Amino acid sequence: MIEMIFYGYFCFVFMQCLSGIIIIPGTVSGTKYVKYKTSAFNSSFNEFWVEVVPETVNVAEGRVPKECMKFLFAFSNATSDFIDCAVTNARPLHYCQKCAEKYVKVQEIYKLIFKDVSEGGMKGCKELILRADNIQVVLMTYDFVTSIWSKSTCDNCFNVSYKNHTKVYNVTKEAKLLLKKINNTMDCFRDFASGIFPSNQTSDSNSTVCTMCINLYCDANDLYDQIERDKLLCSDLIDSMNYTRLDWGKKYNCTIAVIDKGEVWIITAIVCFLPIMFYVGAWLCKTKCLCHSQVVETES
Amino acid sequence: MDTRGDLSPLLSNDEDDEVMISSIGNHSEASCRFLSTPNRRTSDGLFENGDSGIEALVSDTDESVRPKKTADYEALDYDTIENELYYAEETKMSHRQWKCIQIQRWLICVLIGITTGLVAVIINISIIQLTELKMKIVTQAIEKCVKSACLYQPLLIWITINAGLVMIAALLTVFVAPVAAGSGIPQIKCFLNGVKVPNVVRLKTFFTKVVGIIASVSGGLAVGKEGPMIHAGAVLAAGISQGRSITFKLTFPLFEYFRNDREKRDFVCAGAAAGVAAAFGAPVGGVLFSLEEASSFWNQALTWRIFLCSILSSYSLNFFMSLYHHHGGDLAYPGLINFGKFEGTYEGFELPIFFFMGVIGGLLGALFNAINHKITIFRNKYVTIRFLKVVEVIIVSVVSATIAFMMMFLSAQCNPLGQDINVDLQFLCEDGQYNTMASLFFTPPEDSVKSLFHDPLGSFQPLTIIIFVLPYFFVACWTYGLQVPSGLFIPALLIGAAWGRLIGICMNAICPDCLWSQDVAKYALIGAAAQLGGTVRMTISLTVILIEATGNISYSLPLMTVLMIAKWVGDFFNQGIYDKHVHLAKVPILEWEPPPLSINIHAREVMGTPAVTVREVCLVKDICRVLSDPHNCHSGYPVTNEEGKFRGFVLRSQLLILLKHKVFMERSGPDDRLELAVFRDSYPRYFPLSIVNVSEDEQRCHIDIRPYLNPAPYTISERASLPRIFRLFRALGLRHLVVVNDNFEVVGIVTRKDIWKWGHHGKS
Repeated sequence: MIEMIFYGYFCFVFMQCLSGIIIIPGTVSGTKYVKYKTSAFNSSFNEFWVEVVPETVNVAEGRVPKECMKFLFAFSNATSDFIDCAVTNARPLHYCQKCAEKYVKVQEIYKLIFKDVSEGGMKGCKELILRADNIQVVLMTYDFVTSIWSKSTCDNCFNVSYKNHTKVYNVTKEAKLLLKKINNTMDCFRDFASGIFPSNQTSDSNSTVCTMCINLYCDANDLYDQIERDKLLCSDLIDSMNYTRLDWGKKYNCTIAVIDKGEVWIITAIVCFLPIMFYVGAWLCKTKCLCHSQVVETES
Repeated sequence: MDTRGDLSPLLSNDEDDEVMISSIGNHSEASCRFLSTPNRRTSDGLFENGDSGIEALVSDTDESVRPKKTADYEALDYDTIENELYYAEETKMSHRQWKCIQIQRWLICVLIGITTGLVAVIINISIIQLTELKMKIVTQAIEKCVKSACLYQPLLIWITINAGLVMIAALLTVFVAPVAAGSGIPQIKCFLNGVKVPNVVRLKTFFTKVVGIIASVSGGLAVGKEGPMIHAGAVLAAGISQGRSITFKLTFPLFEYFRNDREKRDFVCAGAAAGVAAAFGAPVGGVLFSLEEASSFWNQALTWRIFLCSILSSYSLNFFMSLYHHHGGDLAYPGLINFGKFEGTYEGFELPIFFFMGVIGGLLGALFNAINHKITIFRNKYVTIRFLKVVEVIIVSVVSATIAFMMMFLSAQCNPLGQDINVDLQFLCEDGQYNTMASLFFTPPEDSVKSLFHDPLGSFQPLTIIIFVLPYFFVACWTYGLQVPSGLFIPALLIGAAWGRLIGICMNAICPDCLWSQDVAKYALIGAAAQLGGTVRMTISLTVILIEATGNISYSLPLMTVLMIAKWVGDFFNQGIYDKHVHLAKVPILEWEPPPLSINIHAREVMGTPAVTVREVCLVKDICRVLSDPHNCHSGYPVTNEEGKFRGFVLRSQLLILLKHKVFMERSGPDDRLELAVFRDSYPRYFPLSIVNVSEDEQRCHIDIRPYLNPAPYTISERASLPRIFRLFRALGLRHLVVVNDNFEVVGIVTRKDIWKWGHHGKS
């Protein structure tokens, strides 16, 4: 008898699960709709709360309370905004500066989910959103976003301050300065290519891009080296500088390398000679000593 | 006796054997130099002697010129002396005390594990810091000089720093502890086999090893730190388990029970395992290394203790290194995996390629060993003066530095910055590019191995790799065997990783769009394994070490087969490099199997005869005469009664202690006996006979040896065959085996060296 009851219960649970699976696509399409809407309006965080869940979505179908769905939608929007931004700014690489705000938003919402406090003091959303299934898409997505951010060491280029318990990312002085200098250098390159000369420089026939832009380039280079020593580089800066340098070296052939082979070759020759001398010497010495001792022996 | 007469010329005719070996060291402890003369060889302890009175007689032969003979090695006493004193002590011991000793064993293993880990931390961090500092100086000089035509300056700076660092290592090794030269694995192997390699587990050796390896690795020699770490672990183990330091005259009332060779052996085993665990981050590999390579006697009960020891060593290293990398306490931090984490996979049809690589590894390993063998023989023959040894080391370091510099100087291989790299030295490249060769030379050798394993396809051009690997192979060959602590694992791995990567690049060129050929890391790994396997010829422990050091088990099948093939191919040509060096040192090490086709050789042909015996109760004068006779300076004597029947066995060290404490029958009561503690206390360095003062009066006294002798030592009939004797020695770790006839009279004595000789020149 008891077994029968259990069996019935399991069947019931199983059916419920099935219905849950079927319902999910509906909610997903809802999310999509909302996302386009919010990004179109470029809504601020608060508006977003209000608008985020359209009344048309029947949240009861997913067996997730409306309050929790709000979190999910908000998170979905924030991450897709960030990834959208990061990918569009991947080449040339500028996502640290351009996407900082969006990254903050992802973090904020995740924090809210994680703290598990929603409107009206309701608890339990964290469990439902983060751990209720076997894929845990939210967690995976969050890890993905943070790994992009931390692998690019973006934090190095920002001063992080708190305003109303919200993180505010400000680009550091050094980073701003360096980017400005790099831009100036690149402008100089571009100007040269298009035949524009800076006002203070006359266009004599000897001047090349190297002589014209060397001061700007060296300035940028020195500042970069200094920031590198302070370990404050983020991938934006690294990438910009790398490509400036590549242009300088490869495209315009401005690298100065004076190769002096003379002395280096002499030292190498001497060094190569050392082991030969040593081993021949050791061999001679030993054989001579042996002969000598044999002579002594025979004499005695 | 004629057999004996034949043997010794045989020994000296062999060219290899004539050579003196210095890698094991010029020690001054052993001093029985007459023993190698054949006709003086009368009985037992042949190559075994303590610091005997004969020291004075031999006076002033130049240590460094005198060829090292097998006679210079003593054997260890792995056999317990079950004399009356021992019985008395064991009977007194309560169950609780016995348990206490068991607990102490565990405690010692814990201590060994943690301290070995700590020492490894010190070595690691010092090497990283010193290399960084050195490279910073050189890089600055290069950056300055590339623009102002003074490139010889960085070259000279580099040479000077390298030579300076390496000179520290060489001076320490040559003048403080010559036994610290090389990787230390052969020496530990000998020790665990039962041969007392002088100074091998001394504190000064430890010090030399640690400082030396830091200096020589950061001095840019083609060496690794792994072998020396294993040796360091073994020395620590031997030191800790004794609870005292003789060098500092410190004796703690701890661990007294373990002051004998047998107990020490087990701990040295654990120490070697802990060393491997710390060196590669491979705790299981450590245990297996001890089992496969190092130890000759394995005690099942020991396994678990050794495992604990390795685990502790590996994780204490990880813990401190995680602090150093600012990931405090994160023991799963991937930066702690020695060779970086591997994540790829392989296809079934790649296996033949891997097998082929195994063959190449075996061939190259055999070539490496053969060249190194020749160099070592030359070195031992001609570079014999201490001063010259130091000069040789410095020359090698200067040449290594110059080669490295010239490779970077000449290699026109530049890659654009932007990919994930460790070293971005521009050198002569255009701005925005880095010299690919520099990323192999401007890091500690482990990081070079890591770069070769993990840097993405295209970060090294084939030409760079070829230019790198060829000279490096010969330099590594030339370096091993110098008078500096030098591990062999990393150079072999580096060479293998380089040519493995080359094969990977070839595969990629053959099939540029295939998925399986995108990952060069696996080829580099397999190449490294093959090269190392072909050089050292280890199998199971190496497989497990590599699996653990790469955090990947999916390559276990290719790794295993490749190591096996490399070993087979290599063994076809010559021995593994460690065995080669053991052989060159003429250490009487016993192999796994008895010499082949030796069943018809019997004890009476093998034994030394006639044996020098002492009586149960004998005159002090007689004992003095026996002990001081330079022709019979043996380490143990069979004891007989008045009728000449065999009664037991007494060690030279015991007799010396009896003499020193004047345990004469006439001077003491019938029950006055020395405590066992007195014997333990003088372990392991026994005093020479010369410090024992025996007056005229005392010469006429008697000594009763009966309470001290081992009444039931291992004996064998004179009809026993050589394989039988061999197995007894091998399994029990014997030092002497008394040969008796049917009337229980001593007819001779077999020692380890007798068997060793038959093993090496058996049927010829």
